[in-house]
Amino acid sequence: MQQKEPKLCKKCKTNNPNIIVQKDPVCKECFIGYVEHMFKMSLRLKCNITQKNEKLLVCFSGGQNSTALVKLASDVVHSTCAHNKSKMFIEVHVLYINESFIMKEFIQEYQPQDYTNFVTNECKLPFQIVDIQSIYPDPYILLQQLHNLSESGSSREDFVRLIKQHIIYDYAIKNGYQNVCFGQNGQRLAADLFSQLSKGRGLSLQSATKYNFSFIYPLNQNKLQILHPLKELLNKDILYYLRLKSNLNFPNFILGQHLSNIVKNKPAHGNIDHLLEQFIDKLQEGFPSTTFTVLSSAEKVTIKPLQQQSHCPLCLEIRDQVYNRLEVETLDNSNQQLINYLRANTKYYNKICFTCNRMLQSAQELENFYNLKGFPPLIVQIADTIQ
Amino acid sequence: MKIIVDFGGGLDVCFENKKEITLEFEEQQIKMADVIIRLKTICNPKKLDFFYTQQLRPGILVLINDADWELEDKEEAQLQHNDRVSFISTLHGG
Repeated sequence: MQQKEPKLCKKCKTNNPNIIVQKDPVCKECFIGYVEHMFKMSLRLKCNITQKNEKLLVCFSGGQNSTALVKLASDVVHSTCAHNKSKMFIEVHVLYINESFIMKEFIQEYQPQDYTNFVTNECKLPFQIVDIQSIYPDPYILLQQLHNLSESGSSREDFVRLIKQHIIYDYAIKNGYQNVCFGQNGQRLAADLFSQLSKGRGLSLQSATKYNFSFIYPLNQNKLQILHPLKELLNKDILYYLRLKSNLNFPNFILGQHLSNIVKNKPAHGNIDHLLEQFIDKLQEGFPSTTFTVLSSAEKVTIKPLQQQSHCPLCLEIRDQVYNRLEVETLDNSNQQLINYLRANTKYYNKICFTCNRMLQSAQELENFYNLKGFPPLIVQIADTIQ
Repeated sequence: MKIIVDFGGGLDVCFENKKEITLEFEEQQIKMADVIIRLKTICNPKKLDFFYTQQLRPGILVLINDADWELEDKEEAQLQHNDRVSFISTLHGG
Protein backbone atom coordinates (compact mmCIF):
# COMPACT_ATOMS: atom_id res chain seq x y z
CA MET A 1 0.00 0.00 0.00
CA GLN A 2 1.45 3.36 -1.00
CA GLN A 3 2.01 5.50 2.09
CA LYS A 4 0.98 9.09 2.03
CA GLU A 5 4.07 11.34 2.09
CA PRO A 6 4.09 13.59 5.13
CA LYS A 7 3.54 17.20 4.13
CA LEU A 8 6.30 19.67 4.86
CA CYS A 9 6.26 23.45 5.06
CA LYS A 10 6.39 24.84 1.53
CA LYS A 11 8.87 27.56 2.54
CA CYS A 12 11.48 25.92 4.78
CA LYS A 13 10.80 22.32 3.65
CA THR A 14 11.85 21.20 7.12
CA ASN A 15 9.05 21.65 9.63
CA ASN A 16 5.56 20.25 9.67
CA PRO A 17 3.02 22.74 8.33
CA ASN A 18 0.53 24.42 10.67
CA ILE A 19 -1.50 26.69 8.41
CA ILE A 20 -2.40 27.10 4.78
CA VAL A 21 -1.46 30.48 3.34
CA GLN A 22 -2.62 31.17 -0.21
CA LYS A 23 -2.93 27.44 -0.89
CA ASP A 24 0.56 26.67 0.48
CA PRO A 25 1.06 24.77 3.74
CA VAL A 26 3.53 26.62 5.99
CA CYS A 27 4.87 26.10 9.49
CA LYS A 28 4.34 28.53 12.37
CA GLU A 29 7.79 30.09 12.07
CA CYS A 30 7.53 30.66 8.33
CA PHE A 31 4.01 32.02 8.77
CA ILE A 32 5.15 34.65 11.26
CA GLY A 33 7.99 35.53 8.89
CA TYR A 34 5.51 35.85 6.02
CA VAL A 35 3.21 38.20 7.93
CA GLU A 36 6.09 40.37 9.13
CA HIS A 37 7.56 40.51 5.64
CA MET A 38 4.22 41.47 4.05
CA PHE A 39 3.75 44.23 6.60
CA LYS A 40 7.23 45.72 6.12
CA MET A 41 6.95 45.42 2.35
CA SER A 42 3.56 47.15 2.39
CA LEU A 43 4.85 49.98 4.56
CA ARG A 44 7.99 50.56 2.52
CA LEU A 45 6.94 49.90 -1.05
CA LYS A 46 3.19 50.40 -1.15
CA CYS A 47 2.65 53.00 1.56
CA ASN A 48 5.93 54.82 0.76
CA ILE A 49 7.12 55.00 4.34
CA THR A 50 10.78 55.35 3.54
CA GLN A 51 12.05 58.46 5.29
CA LYS A 52 13.85 58.28 8.60
CA ASN A 53 11.80 59.47 11.60
CA GLU A 54 8.61 59.48 9.56
CA LYS A 55 5.61 59.79 11.88
CA LEU A 56 2.76 57.26 11.78
CA LEU A 57 -0.51 57.56 13.61
CA VAL A 58 -1.91 54.05 14.13
CA CYS A 59 -5.64 53.92 14.76
CA PHE A 60 -6.50 51.23 17.28
CA SER A 61 -10.01 50.04 18.11
CA GLY A 62 -9.31 47.00 20.28
CA GLY A 63 -10.42 44.67 17.49
CA GLN A 64 -8.35 41.95 15.87
CA ASN A 65 -7.08 43.84 12.85
CA SER A 66 -5.90 46.93 14.70
CA THR A 67 -4.38 44.76 17.43
CA ALA A 68 -2.31 42.99 14.79
CA LEU A 69 -1.37 46.36 13.31
CA VAL A 70 -0.14 47.70 16.65
CA LYS A 71 1.80 44.49 17.35
CA LEU A 72 3.48 44.55 13.94
CA ALA A 73 4.22 48.27 14.19
CA SER A 74 5.81 47.69 17.59
CA ASP A 75 7.97 44.86 16.21
CA VAL A 76 9.32 46.94 13.34
CA VAL A 77 10.01 49.94 15.57
CA HIS A 78 11.74 47.96 18.30
CA SER A 79 13.34 45.42 15.98
CA THR A 80 11.62 42.53 17.72
CA CYS A 81 10.39 40.73 14.61
CA ALA A 82 10.84 36.96 14.86
CA HIS A 83 12.68 36.93 11.51
CA ASN A 84 14.41 39.76 9.65
CA LYS A 85 15.38 42.03 12.51
CA SER A 86 15.93 45.09 10.34
CA LYS A 87 14.57 48.10 12.12
CA MET A 88 12.40 50.80 10.60
CA PHE A 89 13.31 54.19 11.98
CA ILE A 90 9.80 55.50 12.17
CA GLU A 91 7.86 57.14 14.97
CA VAL A 92 4.65 55.31 15.79
CA HIS A 93 1.93 56.70 17.99
CA VAL A 94 -1.26 54.79 18.81
CA LEU A 95 -4.64 56.52 18.98
CA TYR A 96 -7.65 54.87 20.56
CA ILE A 97 -11.12 56.38 20.54
CA ASN A 98 -12.97 55.31 23.64
CA GLU A 99 -16.59 54.49 22.79
CA SER A 100 -17.61 53.51 26.35
CA PHE A 101 -19.98 56.45 26.56
CA ILE A 102 -22.04 54.99 23.70
CA MET A 103 -21.49 51.34 24.63
CA LYS A 104 -22.98 51.86 28.09
CA GLU A 105 -26.10 53.35 26.52
CA PHE A 106 -26.70 50.57 23.98
CA ILE A 107 -25.21 47.44 25.55
CA GLN A 108 -26.71 46.42 28.89
CA GLU A 109 -23.97 43.97 29.83
CA TYR A 110 -21.12 46.22 28.67
CA GLN A 111 -17.85 46.14 30.60
CA PRO A 112 -15.08 48.61 29.69
CA GLN A 113 -11.73 47.27 28.58
CA ASP A 114 -8.34 48.76 29.25
CA TYR A 115 -5.71 48.48 26.53
CA THR A 116 -3.05 50.52 28.27
CA ASN A 117 -1.12 47.44 29.37
CA PHE A 118 -1.08 46.00 25.87
CA VAL A 119 -0.06 49.16 24.03
CA THR A 120 2.18 50.81 26.59
CA ASN A 121 3.80 47.91 28.40
CA GLU A 122 3.73 45.06 25.92
CA CYS A 123 4.14 47.02 22.68
CA LYS A 124 5.99 49.97 24.26
CA LEU A 125 4.35 52.57 22.05
CA PRO A 126 3.00 56.01 22.99
CA PHE A 127 -0.72 55.69 23.56
CA GLN A 128 -3.40 58.37 23.39
CA ILE A 129 -7.03 57.80 24.39
CA VAL A 130 -9.70 60.21 23.23
CA ASP A 131 -13.28 59.90 24.45
CA ILE A 132 -15.67 59.96 21.52
CA GLN A 133 -18.02 62.36 23.25
CA SER A 134 -15.23 64.84 24.03
CA ILE A 135 -15.66 66.77 20.76
CA TYR A 136 -19.29 67.51 21.55
CA PRO A 137 -20.09 70.67 23.58
CA ASP A 138 -22.89 68.64 25.21
CA PRO A 139 -22.00 64.92 25.08
CA TYR A 140 -25.61 63.80 25.54
CA ILE A 141 -26.45 65.30 22.16
CA LEU A 142 -24.43 62.43 20.65
CA LEU A 143 -26.64 59.86 22.37
CA GLN A 144 -29.74 61.75 21.33
CA GLN A 145 -28.55 61.80 17.72
CA LEU A 146 -27.93 58.05 17.75
CA HIS A 147 -31.36 57.39 19.20
CA ASN A 148 -32.89 59.65 16.55
CA LEU A 149 -31.23 57.73 13.72
CA SER A 150 -32.96 54.67 12.32
CA GLU A 151 -32.20 51.55 14.36
CA SER A 152 -32.26 49.36 11.26
CA GLY A 153 -29.49 49.35 8.68
CA SER A 154 -26.10 50.83 9.31
CA SER A 155 -27.13 54.44 10.02
CA ARG A 156 -26.01 54.53 13.64
CA GLU A 157 -22.77 52.74 12.94
CA ASP A 158 -22.03 55.03 9.97
CA PHE A 159 -22.67 58.07 12.13
CA VAL A 160 -20.28 56.85 14.83
CA ARG A 161 -17.71 56.08 12.16
CA LEU A 162 -17.82 59.58 10.73
CA ILE A 163 -17.51 61.17 14.17
CA LYS A 164 -14.46 58.99 14.84
CA GLN A 165 -13.03 59.97 11.47
CA HIS A 166 -13.27 63.64 12.37
CA ILE A 167 -11.52 63.00 15.68
CA ILE A 168 -8.75 61.02 13.98
CA TYR A 169 -8.05 63.56 11.24
CA ASP A 170 -8.20 66.48 13.63
CA TYR A 171 -5.81 64.76 16.05
CA ALA A 172 -3.43 63.80 13.23
CA ILE A 173 -3.22 67.35 11.90
CA LYS A 174 -2.90 69.05 15.28
CA ASN A 175 -0.08 66.69 16.29
CA GLY A 176 1.83 66.69 13.02
CA TYR A 177 1.03 63.15 11.83
CA GLN A 178 0.83 63.17 8.06
CA ASN A 179 0.42 59.37 7.86
CA VAL A 180 -2.68 57.74 9.34
CA CYS A 181 -2.73 53.92 9.45
CA PHE A 182 -5.88 51.87 9.59
CA GLY A 183 -5.90 48.17 10.36
CA GLN A 184 -8.38 46.78 7.81
CA ASN A 185 -6.99 43.68 6.13
CA GLY A 186 -7.61 42.86 2.48
CA GLN A 187 -10.75 40.85 3.16
CA ARG A 188 -12.28 43.69 5.15
CA LEU A 189 -11.32 46.20 2.48
CA ALA A 190 -12.99 44.04 -0.18
CA ALA A 191 -16.19 43.97 1.89
CA ASP A 192 -15.91 47.73 2.55
CA LEU A 193 -15.60 48.31 -1.17
CA PHE A 194 -18.94 46.65 -1.90
CA SER A 195 -20.50 48.28 1.10
CA GLN A 196 -19.39 51.77 0.01
CA LEU A 197 -20.67 51.17 -3.51
CA SER A 198 -24.01 49.97 -2.13
CA LYS A 199 -24.37 53.15 -0.13
CA GLY A 200 -23.58 55.38 -3.08
CA ARG A 201 -19.94 56.15 -2.39
CA GLY A 202 -18.54 55.26 -5.78
CA LEU A 203 -16.22 58.25 -5.62
CA SER A 204 -14.71 56.89 -2.39
CA LEU A 205 -13.47 53.69 -4.04
CA GLN A 206 -9.88 54.80 -3.95
CA SER A 207 -9.83 56.00 -0.36
CA ALA A 208 -11.61 52.82 0.69
CA THR A 209 -9.19 50.35 -0.81
CA LYS A 210 -5.79 51.82 -1.70
CA TYR A 211 -2.60 51.09 0.21
CA ASN A 212 -1.84 54.77 0.23
CA PHE A 213 -4.39 57.46 -0.44
CA SER A 214 -3.81 61.21 -0.31
CA PHE A 215 -6.52 63.16 1.41
CA ILE A 216 -6.78 66.95 1.63
CA TYR A 217 -8.42 68.05 4.86
CA PRO A 218 -11.09 70.59 3.80
CA LEU A 219 -10.67 72.87 6.81
CA ASN A 220 -7.06 73.94 6.35
CA GLN A 221 -6.02 72.08 3.15
CA ASN A 222 -3.50 69.98 5.11
CA LYS A 223 -2.53 66.77 3.33
CA LEU A 224 -2.97 63.40 5.02
CA GLN A 225 -1.88 60.00 3.76
CA ILE A 226 -4.42 57.30 4.59
CA LEU A 227 -2.62 53.96 4.77
CA HIS A 228 -3.82 50.35 4.75
CA PRO A 229 -0.60 48.36 5.33
CA LEU A 230 -2.44 45.09 6.12
CA LYS A 231 -4.10 45.01 2.70
CA GLU A 232 -2.15 41.92 1.60
CA LEU A 233 -3.46 39.86 4.51
CA LEU A 234 -6.71 37.99 4.99
CA ASN A 235 -8.91 37.47 8.07
CA LYS A 236 -7.39 34.03 8.56
CA ASP A 237 -3.85 35.41 8.49
CA ILE A 238 -4.69 37.99 11.15
CA LEU A 239 -6.45 35.48 13.40
CA TYR A 240 -3.64 32.96 13.26
CA TYR A 241 -0.97 35.64 13.69
CA LEU A 242 -2.66 36.87 16.85
CA ARG A 243 -3.14 33.34 18.07
CA LEU A 244 0.61 32.81 17.91
CA LYS A 245 1.74 36.24 19.12
CA SER A 246 -0.71 37.69 21.55
CA ASN A 247 -2.51 36.55 24.67
CA LEU A 248 -4.89 39.44 24.52
CA ASN A 249 -8.54 38.67 25.03
CA PHE A 250 -10.57 40.28 22.30
CA PRO A 251 -13.47 42.46 23.25
CA ASN A 252 -16.93 40.92 23.32
CA PHE A 253 -18.41 44.32 22.74
CA ILE A 254 -17.83 45.78 19.35
CA LEU A 255 -20.10 48.77 18.95
CA GLY A 256 -20.96 48.09 15.31
CA GLN A 257 -22.00 44.55 16.20
CA HIS A 258 -24.45 45.75 18.82
CA LEU A 259 -25.89 48.91 17.34
CA SER A 260 -27.93 46.94 14.83
CA ASN A 261 -28.54 43.82 16.93
CA ILE A 262 -31.94 45.20 17.85
CA VAL A 263 -33.25 44.30 14.39
CA LYS A 264 -34.15 40.63 14.51
CA ASN A 265 -36.04 39.70 11.38
CA LYS A 266 -33.60 40.63 8.62
CA PRO A 267 -30.42 38.98 7.33
CA ALA A 268 -27.35 40.33 9.15
CA HIS A 269 -29.72 42.45 11.28
CA GLY A 270 -30.43 44.56 8.21
CA ASN A 271 -26.93 45.96 8.24
CA ILE A 272 -25.37 46.15 4.76
CA ASP A 273 -21.82 46.16 6.17
CA HIS A 274 -22.35 42.91 8.10
CA LEU A 275 -24.14 41.37 5.14
CA LEU A 276 -21.35 42.12 2.69
CA GLU A 277 -18.69 40.91 5.13
CA GLN A 278 -20.54 37.62 5.36
CA PHE A 279 -20.83 37.55 1.57
CA ILE A 280 -17.11 38.06 1.04
CA ASP A 281 -16.24 35.59 3.82
CA LYS A 282 -18.39 32.91 2.21
CA LEU A 283 -16.90 33.55 -1.25
CA GLN A 284 -13.38 33.61 0.13
CA GLU A 285 -13.86 30.26 1.81
CA GLY A 286 -14.89 28.61 -1.47
CA PHE A 287 -12.61 30.64 -3.78
CA PRO A 288 -9.30 31.67 -2.18
CA SER A 289 -8.58 34.31 -4.84
CA THR A 290 -11.76 36.28 -4.14
CA THR A 291 -10.31 39.06 -2.03
CA PHE A 292 -7.35 39.80 -4.27
CA THR A 293 -9.48 39.64 -7.39
CA VAL A 294 -11.92 42.17 -5.93
CA LEU A 295 -9.14 44.52 -4.81
CA SER A 296 -7.15 44.31 -8.03
CA SER A 297 -10.33 44.98 -10.03
CA ALA A 298 -11.02 48.02 -7.87
CA GLU A 299 -7.59 49.40 -8.74
CA LYS A 300 -8.53 49.32 -12.41
CA VAL A 301 -11.64 51.41 -11.92
CA THR A 302 -11.05 54.97 -13.04
CA ILE A 303 -13.09 57.84 -11.73
CA LYS A 304 -14.12 60.64 -14.00
CA PRO A 305 -12.61 63.84 -12.61
CA LEU A 306 -15.18 66.35 -11.48
CA GLN A 307 -14.94 69.95 -12.61
CA GLN A 308 -15.52 71.13 -9.10
CA GLN A 309 -14.83 69.01 -6.06
CA SER A 310 -16.95 69.88 -3.06
CA HIS A 311 -16.86 67.87 0.14
CA CYS A 312 -19.58 66.74 2.48
CA PRO A 313 -18.93 68.20 5.96
CA LEU A 314 -20.13 65.02 7.68
CA CYS A 315 -18.18 62.28 5.93
CA LEU A 316 -15.53 64.50 4.27
CA GLU A 317 -15.95 62.58 1.05
CA ILE A 318 -16.49 64.20 -2.32
CA ARG A 319 -20.04 65.34 -2.88
CA ASP A 320 -21.09 63.83 -6.15
CA GLN A 321 -22.88 65.78 -8.82
CA VAL A 322 -26.34 64.87 -9.90
CA TYR A 323 -26.58 63.75 -13.52
CA ASN A 324 -30.07 62.38 -13.85
CA ARG A 325 -33.46 62.33 -12.18
CA LEU A 326 -32.80 58.94 -10.55
CA GLU A 327 -30.06 60.51 -8.46
CA VAL A 328 -31.92 63.66 -7.59
CA GLU A 329 -33.20 62.86 -4.17
CA THR A 330 -32.49 60.17 -1.66
CA LEU A 331 -35.31 60.66 0.73
CA ASP A 332 -38.46 58.84 -0.24
CA ASN A 333 -39.77 60.73 -3.26
CA SER A 334 -43.28 60.64 -1.85
CA ASN A 335 -41.91 62.96 0.80
CA GLN A 336 -41.22 65.76 -1.65
CA GLN A 337 -42.81 68.27 0.72
CA LEU A 338 -40.32 67.37 3.43
CA ILE A 339 -37.40 67.60 1.02
CA ASN A 340 -38.50 71.05 -0.18
CA TYR A 341 -38.96 72.18 3.41
CA LEU A 342 -35.50 70.99 4.45
CA ARG A 343 -33.90 72.59 1.43
CA ALA A 344 -35.57 75.92 2.14
CA ASN A 345 -35.33 75.96 5.92
CA THR A 346 -32.07 74.33 6.94
CA LYS A 347 -28.62 75.75 6.65
CA TYR A 348 -26.68 72.73 5.40
CA TYR A 349 -29.09 70.51 3.43
CA ASN A 350 -27.41 71.34 0.10
CA LYS A 351 -23.97 70.53 1.46
CA ILE A 352 -24.77 66.99 2.60
CA CYS A 353 -23.82 64.19 0.19
CA PHE A 354 -26.02 61.42 -1.20
CA THR A 355 -24.78 58.77 1.23
CA CYS A 356 -25.09 60.92 4.32
CA ASN A 357 -28.62 61.81 3.21
CA ARG A 358 -29.30 58.07 3.06
CA MET A 359 -27.88 57.71 6.56
CA LEU A 360 -30.24 60.39 7.83
CA GLN A 361 -33.23 58.92 6.06
CA SER A 362 -35.95 57.90 8.53
CA ALA A 363 -34.23 59.84 11.32
CA GLN A 364 -36.27 61.86 13.77
CA GLU A 365 -35.71 65.60 14.26
CA LEU A 366 -34.23 65.87 10.77
CA GLU A 367 -34.07 69.64 10.98
CA ASN A 368 -31.53 69.42 13.80
CA PHE A 369 -29.30 67.20 11.69
CA TYR A 370 -29.46 69.45 8.65
CA ASN A 371 -28.80 72.52 10.76
CA LEU A 372 -25.93 70.69 12.50
CA LYS A 373 -27.55 71.66 15.79
CA GLY A 374 -25.49 70.48 18.72
CA PHE A 375 -22.82 69.02 16.43
CA PRO A 376 -19.14 69.36 17.35
CA PRO A 377 -17.84 72.87 16.52
CA LEU A 378 -15.20 71.23 14.30
CA ILE A 379 -17.85 69.80 11.97
CA VAL A 380 -19.82 73.08 11.91
CA GLN A 381 -16.61 74.93 11.08
CA ILE A 382 -15.92 72.57 8.18
CA ALA A 383 -19.48 72.96 6.94
CA ASP A 384 -19.15 76.75 7.01
CA THR A 385 -15.84 76.60 5.16
CA ILE A 386 -17.03 74.29 2.38
CA GLN A 387 -18.69 75.88 -0.63
CA MET B 1 -12.49 10.03 24.50
CA LYS B 2 -12.15 13.66 25.65
CA ILE B 3 -11.80 16.60 23.26
CA ILE B 4 -11.02 20.07 24.56
CA VAL B 5 -12.74 22.86 22.65
CA ASP B 6 -11.85 26.52 23.04
CA PHE B 7 -13.55 29.56 21.55
CA GLY B 8 -11.98 32.85 20.51
CA GLY B 9 -13.03 36.09 18.86
CA GLY B 10 -16.28 36.31 20.77
CA LEU B 11 -17.64 32.85 19.94
CA ASP B 12 -17.91 32.01 23.65
CA VAL B 13 -21.18 33.97 23.72
CA CYS B 14 -22.71 31.10 21.75
CA PHE B 15 -21.80 28.67 24.54
CA GLU B 16 -22.91 30.40 27.73
CA ASN B 17 -19.80 32.62 27.74
CA LYS B 18 -17.50 29.66 28.27
CA LYS B 19 -14.14 30.12 26.59
CA GLU B 20 -13.28 26.43 26.95
CA ILE B 21 -15.34 23.24 27.25
CA THR B 22 -14.56 19.53 27.31
CA LEU B 23 -16.57 17.14 25.20
CA GLU B 24 -16.71 13.45 26.05
CA PHE B 25 -17.39 10.77 23.46
CA GLU B 26 -17.99 7.09 24.01
CA GLU B 27 -16.72 6.18 20.54
CA GLN B 28 -13.02 5.46 20.10
CA GLN B 29 -12.83 7.08 16.69
CA ILE B 30 -14.05 10.63 16.39
CA LYS B 31 -13.96 12.99 13.46
CA MET B 32 -14.28 16.78 13.42
CA ALA B 33 -17.77 16.35 11.97
CA ASP B 34 -18.80 14.58 15.21
CA VAL B 35 -17.49 17.48 17.29
CA ILE B 36 -19.44 19.96 15.21
CA ILE B 37 -22.62 17.90 15.51
CA ARG B 38 -22.18 17.80 19.29
CA LEU B 39 -21.57 21.57 19.41
CA LYS B 40 -24.75 22.15 17.45
CA THR B 41 -26.72 20.51 20.24
CA ILE B 42 -25.31 22.82 22.92
CA CYS B 43 -25.00 26.05 20.94
CA ASN B 44 -27.37 28.86 21.93
CA PRO B 45 -29.89 28.91 19.02
CA LYS B 46 -30.41 32.66 19.42
CA LYS B 47 -26.74 33.39 18.73
CA LEU B 48 -26.09 33.19 15.01
CA ASP B 49 -22.33 33.71 15.06
CA PHE B 50 -21.34 30.05 15.06
CA PHE B 51 -23.66 28.28 12.67
CA TYR B 52 -25.05 29.48 9.36
CA THR B 53 -28.04 27.32 8.46
CA GLN B 54 -26.71 23.88 9.39
CA GLN B 55 -23.01 24.51 8.76
CA LEU B 56 -20.18 26.29 10.44
CA ARG B 57 -20.31 29.98 9.59
CA PRO B 58 -17.77 30.93 6.87
CA GLY B 59 -14.87 32.92 8.21
CA ILE B 60 -14.38 30.92 11.41
CA LEU B 61 -10.80 29.69 11.73
CA VAL B 62 -10.70 26.11 12.98
CA LEU B 63 -7.50 24.72 14.50
CA ILE B 64 -6.71 21.21 15.64
CA ASN B 65 -3.83 21.35 18.14
CA ASP B 66 -2.99 24.81 16.76
CA ALA B 67 -2.88 23.63 13.16
CA ASP B 68 -5.29 24.61 10.39
CA TRP B 69 -7.95 21.94 9.95
CA GLU B 70 -7.64 22.35 6.16
CA LEU B 71 -4.37 20.42 6.47
CA GLU B 72 -6.32 17.44 7.79
CA ASP B 73 -9.32 17.34 5.42
CA LYS B 74 -11.51 19.56 7.61
CA GLU B 75 -14.61 17.68 8.81
CA GLU B 76 -13.01 14.32 7.99
CA ALA B 77 -10.01 14.95 10.27
CA GLN B 78 -9.54 12.14 12.80
CA LEU B 79 -9.12 13.25 16.40
CA GLN B 80 -7.19 11.67 19.28
CA HIS B 81 -7.88 11.67 23.00
CA ASN B 82 -7.17 15.10 24.59
CA ASP B 83 -6.83 16.86 21.25
CA ARG B 84 -7.55 20.58 21.40
CA VAL B 85 -9.94 22.05 18.85
CA SER B 86 -10.10 25.85 18.57
CA PHE B 87 -12.74 27.97 16.88
CA ILE B 88 -11.80 31.61 16.32
CA SER B 89 -14.00 34.15 14.65
CA THR B 90 -13.54 37.62 13.24
CA LEU B 91 -15.78 40.17 14.83
CA HIS B 92 -17.41 42.77 12.69
CA GLY B 93 -15.38 45.92 12.91
CA GLY B 94 -11.99 46.15 14.59
